[in-house]
Amino acid sequence: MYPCVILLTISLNFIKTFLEGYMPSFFDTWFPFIYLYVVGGFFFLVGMIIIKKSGAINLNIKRHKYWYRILIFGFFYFVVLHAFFIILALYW
Amino acid sequence: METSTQGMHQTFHNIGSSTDWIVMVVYFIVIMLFGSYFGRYNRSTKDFFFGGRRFAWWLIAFSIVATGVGSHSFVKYSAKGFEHGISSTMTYINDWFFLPFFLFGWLPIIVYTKIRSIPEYFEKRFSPSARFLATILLLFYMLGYIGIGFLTLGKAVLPMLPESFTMFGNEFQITLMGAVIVIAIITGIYITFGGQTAVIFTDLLQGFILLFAGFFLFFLGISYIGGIDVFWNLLPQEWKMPLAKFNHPTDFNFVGIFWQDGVAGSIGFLFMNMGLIMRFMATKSVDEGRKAATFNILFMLPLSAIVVGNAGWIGKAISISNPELVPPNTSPDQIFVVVANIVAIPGVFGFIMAALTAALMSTVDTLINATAAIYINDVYRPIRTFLKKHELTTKGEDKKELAAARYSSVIITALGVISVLAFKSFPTVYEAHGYFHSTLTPPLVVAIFLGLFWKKFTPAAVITTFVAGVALMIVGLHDPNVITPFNHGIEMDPNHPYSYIRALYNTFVCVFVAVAVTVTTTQQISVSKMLKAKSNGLQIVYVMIAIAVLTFVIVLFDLLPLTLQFVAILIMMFTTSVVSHYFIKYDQELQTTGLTVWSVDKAKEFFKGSKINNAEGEKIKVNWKQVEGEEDIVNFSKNDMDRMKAKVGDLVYLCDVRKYLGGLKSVHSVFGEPHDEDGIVHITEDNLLNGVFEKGRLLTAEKEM
Repeated sequence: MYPCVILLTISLNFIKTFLEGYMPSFFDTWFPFIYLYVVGGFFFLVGMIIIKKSGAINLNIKRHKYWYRILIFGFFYFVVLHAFFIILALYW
Repeated sequence: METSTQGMHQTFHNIGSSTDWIVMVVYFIVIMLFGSYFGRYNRSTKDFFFGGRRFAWWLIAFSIVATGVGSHSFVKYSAKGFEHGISSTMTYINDWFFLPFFLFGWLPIIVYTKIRSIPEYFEKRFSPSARFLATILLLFYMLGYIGIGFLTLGKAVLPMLPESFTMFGNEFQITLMGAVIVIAIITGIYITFGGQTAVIFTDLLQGFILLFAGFFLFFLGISYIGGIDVFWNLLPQEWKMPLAKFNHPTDFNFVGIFWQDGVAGSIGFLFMNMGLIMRFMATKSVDEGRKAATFNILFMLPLSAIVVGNAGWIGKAISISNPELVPPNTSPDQIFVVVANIVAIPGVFGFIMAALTAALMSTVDTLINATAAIYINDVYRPIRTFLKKHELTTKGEDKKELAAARYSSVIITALGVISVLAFKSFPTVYEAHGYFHSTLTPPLVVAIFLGLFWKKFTPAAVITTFVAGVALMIVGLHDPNVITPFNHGIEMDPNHPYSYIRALYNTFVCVFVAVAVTVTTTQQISVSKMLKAKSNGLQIVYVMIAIAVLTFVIVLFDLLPLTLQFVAILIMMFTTSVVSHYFIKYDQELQTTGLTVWSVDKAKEFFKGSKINNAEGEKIKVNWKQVEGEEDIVNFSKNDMDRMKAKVGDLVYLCDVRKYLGGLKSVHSVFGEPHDEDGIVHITEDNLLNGVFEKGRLLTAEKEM
């Protein structure tokens, strides 16, 4: 995992240098958003898989199905919320 | 209003008028009377700490607002709002990622295993020694949290006080620590006589008041500036972004705060913060706890983000349009008070300040209550059991525990004040809190997470994580350069190196130790068996313990070069894990059943004591009739039991029919043999007293499981 972290740091610096030439503010505007929902989304996805595989959430039970949908809804609710406010900040 | 300059920042004193002080005192008296009224519902330590597992989700969801808003306070988010704009909201809107783990992993397990504290989980899942180490780490965490609360309170109140006062001809300077001590005394008195039910109800009231006060301040501020358009156009574009810049500046950047707050903080808050967990445990069922948590994160936290940060945004806008009124170099931690004083008339300012300080007190109260619960469960009871004086069943013992809980609250309050000293040197409360989260949460977060989701995670691994993981974290404290590979391009501030991103390093090293020890379990067991077979095995084990202790001391005092410290820690990992296997008896099958996410159904069965009845029945309304008896059972008619799809031995929840009480008058019991009187429940005196039911009032009954 240690080399992966170094690789990630190098990649981030590369993306920053590359993108700054074309879109100066991307690294400080949309990039945090992408990082948040890619890395955070990874944790979320792992959580969803574990609770499903372990049987902690049983989709045959009506109530659990409801909770499963709420969890997915919540994730996209925050994606939309953040995206909306970034657009608002940049273009309004 | 007086001002003075300290370093780069301008500080304020004597803000507010006597009307404001009168409003504040009246507010506090009303809140304390309100809390004391509900304090009478504490009948045992169970009620004192957990509120008797009876409340509706909405009551808990709103009471959490005051706890959350208080701890993630007006002071620190207004400061960051003033310095960096709307991105001060980001820490309130990044808690969803770990919710699946919480709702369907941690929450059902802590409720169904009937644990009273997190360390108790460590004993059941691992061993008493794991519980001991978890208790130490958790007490540090909770005391640190209380310290942060007191520091924030002190910083909130200080601008309202004069720089000094004269008494008996002597002039006394009003210092931050002086203010903290006085606040701590008031807080300590309240919690000592309140208890969890009182805290829940005062927090419920304060949740509403805080939201109102925060939005009212926002409305006043916007009006003062000249409308939302003027406000928006005054803010520089970067102040409008909801997320901070990726990796700069060092004191506020997205990636550092993501790992510190979004990961370590969110998990810490949901999984480790006993104050919050006890709220969820006070709900009438796991499903109600899920509703409370979800509603809180989806709706209350985004609203709270506006409530706590808007004074900073308004302050920034005023500092651009009228820099003489709000100088751009105003001390960030004072901006909330300064802005509230400018936009609100006397009296209203006092009300806003009262709401702020009372909410902060609520947070500290909750934390003190939770820390006392840890003390009783994980220090007091084990010691009494060890001395063979503990009998759980006697009512006399419960009274003694309640008294011990109250005394310990006072001591915890004092220790909380002392811990303020550790955080006082940070430029803002936000950075102090960030550093605190990054440093104290990772070992417990990793231990809880892996314990809950990975059946192979052993007691040796958890103990080694607590010892060697912490040692590696200390290396990072002494030499921040080891954190550099994790820094994502964040520059190191030599005064407070990597306050936020150190959370990633600390989490990484703890996960590394935990995984490395778990995957080499077979080899450790072989060595431990070999030692048991040897005649001098015990002596060798003692030497190994000495090596581990010596290594910890070397790392703690930074006595060796860095490379050698790493080598010593690797040796320590080996010795600690082997020693753990040597002494700890661990049955993986037994100690993971019902205690990991892979067997939540079993936990539910253990909770009930028999097979689960999942059939979905109706909720019914019944009258009650008192009957003689000692057993914890209630009896319904056969027809009523059929409607609820209940069987004898199933669990039932009885609640006063008035929904607005939120479950305050309710009780859990067990279905007994049916009778023939439809619409009537037979109930014993004990259950009547526990439920605080009133004569002539209908009850709602529902089968739980």
